[in-house]
Amino acid sequence: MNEMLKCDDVQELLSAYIDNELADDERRRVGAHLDGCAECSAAVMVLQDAIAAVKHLDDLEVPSELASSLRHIEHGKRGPAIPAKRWWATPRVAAFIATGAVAAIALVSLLTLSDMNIMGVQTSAEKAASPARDQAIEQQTNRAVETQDLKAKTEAHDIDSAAPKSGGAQSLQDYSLQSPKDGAASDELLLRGLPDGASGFAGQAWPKVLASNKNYSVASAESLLNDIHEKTGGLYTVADAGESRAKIVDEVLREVSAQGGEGERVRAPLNAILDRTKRAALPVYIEKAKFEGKPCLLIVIKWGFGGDENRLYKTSLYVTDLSGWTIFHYASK
Amino acid sequence: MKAVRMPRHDADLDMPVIKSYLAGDADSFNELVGRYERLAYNLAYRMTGNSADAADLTQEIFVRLHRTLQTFHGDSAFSTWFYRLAANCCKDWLRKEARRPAIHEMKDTLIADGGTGPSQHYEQKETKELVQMAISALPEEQRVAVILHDLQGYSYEEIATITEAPIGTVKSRLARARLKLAESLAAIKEQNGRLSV
Repeated sequence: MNEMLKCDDVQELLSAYIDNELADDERRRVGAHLDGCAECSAAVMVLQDAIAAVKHLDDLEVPSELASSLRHIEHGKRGPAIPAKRWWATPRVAAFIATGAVAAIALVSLLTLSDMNIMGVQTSAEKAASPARDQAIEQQTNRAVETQDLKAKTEAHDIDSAAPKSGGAQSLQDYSLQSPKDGAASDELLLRGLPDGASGFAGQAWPKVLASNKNYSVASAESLLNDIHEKTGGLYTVADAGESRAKIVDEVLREVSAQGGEGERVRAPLNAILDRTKRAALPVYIEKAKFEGKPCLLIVIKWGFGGDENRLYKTSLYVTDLSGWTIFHYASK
Repeated sequence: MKAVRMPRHDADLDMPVIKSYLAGDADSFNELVGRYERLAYNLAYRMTGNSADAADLTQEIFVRLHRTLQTFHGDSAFSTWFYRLAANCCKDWLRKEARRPAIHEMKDTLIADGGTGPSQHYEQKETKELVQMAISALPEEQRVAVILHDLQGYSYEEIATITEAPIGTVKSRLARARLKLAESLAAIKEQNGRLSV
């Protein structure tokens, strides 16, 4: 068996030769071939380079959030239930109206997927006051988005109600609640649009459907994601996603439509995003705004794994065009 | 931090914990999580190539462990059994992933197009990312072989046990994987100069 090996035979054995996994006889024959073959010797070096490159990859730490979640797998089965806030179980319309929050829906605009001008119809005086007004609107909108607080929204409305309709401080709804069709007053449109026994999400914490004049950047979108992530930790459970996904998606989209938008048009892309996460997933936030100057939807979902009572602990943000299908930006926590 | 051989816990150490869990001590499951989470996460990361999917997959591995632990009878070392379960989870996950609509990829394309061109984007990648990309491009069986052997230090024989394949098959998968990696990395080297590992 001292027949010399050919290059093709040797190439197939080089990997095992490097690992010292060849039988003694085979190893000797490969060695003999390499002594007289520059091409195969060079191939050994190339393979050794590749192996070294793989071996130098980092040994990764387990992210702390994942480590924590893994320790809930057992508790999801046997431990105490992780409290979940089931938003559909909370009374909405009554509290919404009783607290005077209906008017505060000024911060919750018409979410339409058509090419609607979110800034709405402006008078010439309004246009003249544009920069300062935009800044004021943005500040108010940001405040409302950041605080996610009904009280803050009510206060915003109170301030707006007292403000003159042109020039100076403007009512937020003048700019963010225009009907694309008839220009009806926003409150009127919203109230008319609300179905019996239902309400807008502005009257409750989560999930949210809103529109703003905000022009998000990567940094501010991720800041929004961080904020939502922190505030929606116990919102949904895995069981919610399994048992009630269709219902929750229906309600969110119904809300979009109730406010004059076209909820059905976002159903397919929203479902694609939920499916994309591969695990239990539910929507928590949809905002119509701008991203780097382009009209967009910010869609935030919660997702997770494990037993039915585990929380959906991951939060992902998709910034899409108004069709919901083209994704400009994605971030996850 | 350079990759290190994963700690493996022999049956003597793992069996009491498993028995304790099966006898009703819920905390023992988390003891196993503590012992194996790093191994699982590193495998998942190298199989998927990104941290979000790796977290997803690691969860799936432990959910499956939770569901099937009662079927472990100690016929092999728990570490081998666990690694087999983890490798199978990875394969299932990758197959499922391949059937999904490519929303994520669409995002990547859009972001890449919005900034630098493809070649610049490529050049800007860290060498380690490129090595990871080359691993991710391997067929799944070859990927498993490379990760187990070159990253986690398992022998051919151990890999054969874990993957339930003959040693000759393991040898062949590893050889093919390394040839492909060498080709990919040679192309990278051509672009970036010598690999700085």
